[in-house]
Amino acid sequence: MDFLKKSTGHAVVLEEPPSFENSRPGAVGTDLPSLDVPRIDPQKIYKKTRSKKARLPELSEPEVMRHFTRMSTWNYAIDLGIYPLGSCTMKYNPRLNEEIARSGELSEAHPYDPIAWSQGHLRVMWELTEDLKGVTGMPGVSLQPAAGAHGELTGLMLVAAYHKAKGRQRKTILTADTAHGTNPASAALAGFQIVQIATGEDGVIHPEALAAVLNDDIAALMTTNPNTLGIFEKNIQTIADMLHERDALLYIDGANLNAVLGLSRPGDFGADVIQFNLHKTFSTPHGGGGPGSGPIAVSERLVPFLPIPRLEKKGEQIVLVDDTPQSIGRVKAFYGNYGMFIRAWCYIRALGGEGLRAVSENAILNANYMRSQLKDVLNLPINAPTLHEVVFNDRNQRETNLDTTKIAKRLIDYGMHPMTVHFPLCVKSAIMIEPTETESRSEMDRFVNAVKEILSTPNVEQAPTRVFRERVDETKAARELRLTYRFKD
Amino acid sequence: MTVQHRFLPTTPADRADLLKACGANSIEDLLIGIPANVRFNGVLPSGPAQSELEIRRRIRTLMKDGRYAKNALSFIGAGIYDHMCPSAVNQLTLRGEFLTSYTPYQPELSQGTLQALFEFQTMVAELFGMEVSNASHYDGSTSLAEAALMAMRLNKDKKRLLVSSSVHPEYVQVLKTYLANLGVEISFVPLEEGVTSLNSLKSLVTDEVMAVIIQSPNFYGCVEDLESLAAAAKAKGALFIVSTPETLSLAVLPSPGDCGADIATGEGQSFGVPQSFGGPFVGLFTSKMEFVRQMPGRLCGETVDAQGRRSYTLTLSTREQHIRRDKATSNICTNQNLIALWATIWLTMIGKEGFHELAVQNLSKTEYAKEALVATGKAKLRFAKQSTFNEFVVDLKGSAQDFFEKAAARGVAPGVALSRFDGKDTTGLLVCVTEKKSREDIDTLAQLLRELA
Repeated sequence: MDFLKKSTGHAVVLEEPPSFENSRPGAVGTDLPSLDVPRIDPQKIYKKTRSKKARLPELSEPEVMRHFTRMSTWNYAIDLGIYPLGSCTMKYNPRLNEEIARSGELSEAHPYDPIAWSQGHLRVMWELTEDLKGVTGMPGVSLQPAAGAHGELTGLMLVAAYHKAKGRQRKTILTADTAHGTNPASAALAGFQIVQIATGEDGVIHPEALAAVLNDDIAALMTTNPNTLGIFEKNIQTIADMLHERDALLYIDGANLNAVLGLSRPGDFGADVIQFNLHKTFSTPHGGGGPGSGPIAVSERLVPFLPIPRLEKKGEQIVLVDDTPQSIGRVKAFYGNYGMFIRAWCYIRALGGEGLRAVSENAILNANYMRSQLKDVLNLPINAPTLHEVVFNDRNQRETNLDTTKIAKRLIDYGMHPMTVHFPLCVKSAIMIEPTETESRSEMDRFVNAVKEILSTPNVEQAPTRVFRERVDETKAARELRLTYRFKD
Repeated sequence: MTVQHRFLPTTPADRADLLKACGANSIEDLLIGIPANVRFNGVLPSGPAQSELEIRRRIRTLMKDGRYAKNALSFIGAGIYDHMCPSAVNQLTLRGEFLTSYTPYQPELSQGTLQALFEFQTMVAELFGMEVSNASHYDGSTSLAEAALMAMRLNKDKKRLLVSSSVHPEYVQVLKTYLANLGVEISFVPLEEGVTSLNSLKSLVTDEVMAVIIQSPNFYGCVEDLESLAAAAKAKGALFIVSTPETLSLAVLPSPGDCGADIATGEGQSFGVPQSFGGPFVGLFTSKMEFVRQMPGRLCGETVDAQGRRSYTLTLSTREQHIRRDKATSNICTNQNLIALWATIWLTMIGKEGFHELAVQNLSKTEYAKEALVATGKAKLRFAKQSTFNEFVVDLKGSAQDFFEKAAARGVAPGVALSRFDGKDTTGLLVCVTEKKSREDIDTLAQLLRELA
């Protein structure tokens, strides 16, 4: 237990109840501007007014500051240490991007501002669009979708519109067993049914498996590349050709695009649609679960169906147009999560074309280093070349009382966030590690050493114990639903 | 040769060591998994790497004609509302522990995010007068579309949806896109004097209608009679869905829950979230408790840890995509956590009395603005009979778009010309007045009307 002795384990972490319990009538958290027009009583204007003031807390400014600062110390964060969640891509978030996105110049603009005032913002959107075309080698881009899953839904709506325009309804989307849960969920939401293809023993889709299910009811195949095993779909060109022969489309889930920047472009092998997760590949902050941003890029086939509004150049001016009759319509009010576009735009500029390639190269190097350091202690179920993430499982630990979940929870006591567990579903008890390119060798070694120490000392009590809260009772949460604070009055 | 960069800690010496550990001579050896026929050998066209200084300079140049650089005055609302925001909100949301953490799937490492979500859900449910709120959605428009999908699941055998013609036009477009492939027939309830016609609703609503969707305050700023509309919808077994883009109005208007809403959605941008050229914002989604299992999105619940201490965790995840895949209630995964946190901190700072007072200020300034604009003789209130919150429509004598452009040249955005949404509506101007507009600002707008309209 040498490792544990080295970590402090006794940071100043304070209890803090929900704000409603600290609330005291009369406490004021902010000052409002003085009212410089005659005061109007709502009861004079409305037939009926709100029956009772909303029970928002009453706290002073310093109390609010402490309330949220104390709570913040209960979180793990990428700023604190390695966050090796496979497929989630937790990389460093450059702070310049925050400064710029939050500056008044960018954050105060309204989408309905006069077009002349908006040229700078539209230029940022235009340039980001060009960047995304460059990264994918695909001719059409829409920045509209609000998150990756929203991009998936939008992409699948384009697929539906494509077949509809050809006068047919195709009902089925093929997905691989390595797919994220969002893929089948998005397909269902777009009105499709799902047929799943099993990947081969080498972790990729085989043309024979596709041939066995390919028919004229298949609208598209949806697959992540590199897939969630961190493996490049080596048959992707053949698969694309087979699909196109039947006029079915190829949807690439771009969740792992961060692995192949400047190394491979989906457009070159015939992808018809891909969604970007700007919060993964282009390092916009995850924010504890959003906001994300999920632009899509498409092939020529799908350009006519892209959502409105679209960016267009009219002479020197950039304008937004919505006069495209075949468009699927609007997928979100206004123009997408613009604040995230700025951050991604800054990130891409900070790196440049060659830097983007270096991002993927370092991500691949780091994942391979993790693999080299852990392959002797954890089982590697699929021995194929690793790109940005590596998937192990707990087979070597079956004789001990350790398993994937216990290893993950124990890692918390070592002061680091666990990897992704039990995903992808095609690997039983998966342990999925993605260090990303922004981890140093020493930080990776910290993780590797912790895993090794856990595996060599299997007789431990229920972890985690060295945290603000120990194992949380999720069953009780679901059984006795308490989704809001119970006020005393 | 891999380039060195400030975001990448690996030095050339580290790289040599790491490669050796991997049994590789070069990065190229690690790329053998990518077949040669799909390798890209060019350089991505994003230009050379730029320093912080260069990026800042470029942004300043690009934004030189923006509203901020011009110190412009704006009366534009239409779904995005320019409200005050205490400095502490921005500062707190910059804390790395909130900003750079992942979705709280490991509750033991995410109690800060989770307690904030629990407070968020509590406040949102309280404001809407509803029993349960989810942990956020993308924005107001997609919340409303998902409410319609939820109504489809709750009223499986019904295929018709009634939508008021006063719902924000872009929300309606999103709704149509979401429902395009799902076999739902959408009909629109006409307006009477700027609000949903109760008589028309009564004649349109049948046993086949799964839900009725009403926005209040509506797109034209008018307050809808939710209670009567709800009663009409429910008389035929339809669910009653309310959309509230301007959620500050909930401080003074009867809550959707009190008026009989089954599902109530809205936009949390009003809680001090920067306008940011249209996003990111935060969708609000509330319903009755009996429908919670059909709700989309994440839910945070209270529980205990192994020591019996109050704790929080995401719950009812059997509704969600990562468990249920194609049978999930929604495909939503990442949503708007940091903006939900922003809204939570804002509501906590504004507080119980401040929230009410802020709404009164909006109402007072709006009433003042109505009088000031009408007094110019250049503008008439289109729906003079209706009560409004902080937005209203005036008709100009000539083209509202012309006035908009002339005023913009003088550094004032006077509102939104309604011709933007309906080419036939040439005279309508939708004007929004929040607490951030001073009396002098409003008088400036009136003066511009006198001179330019």
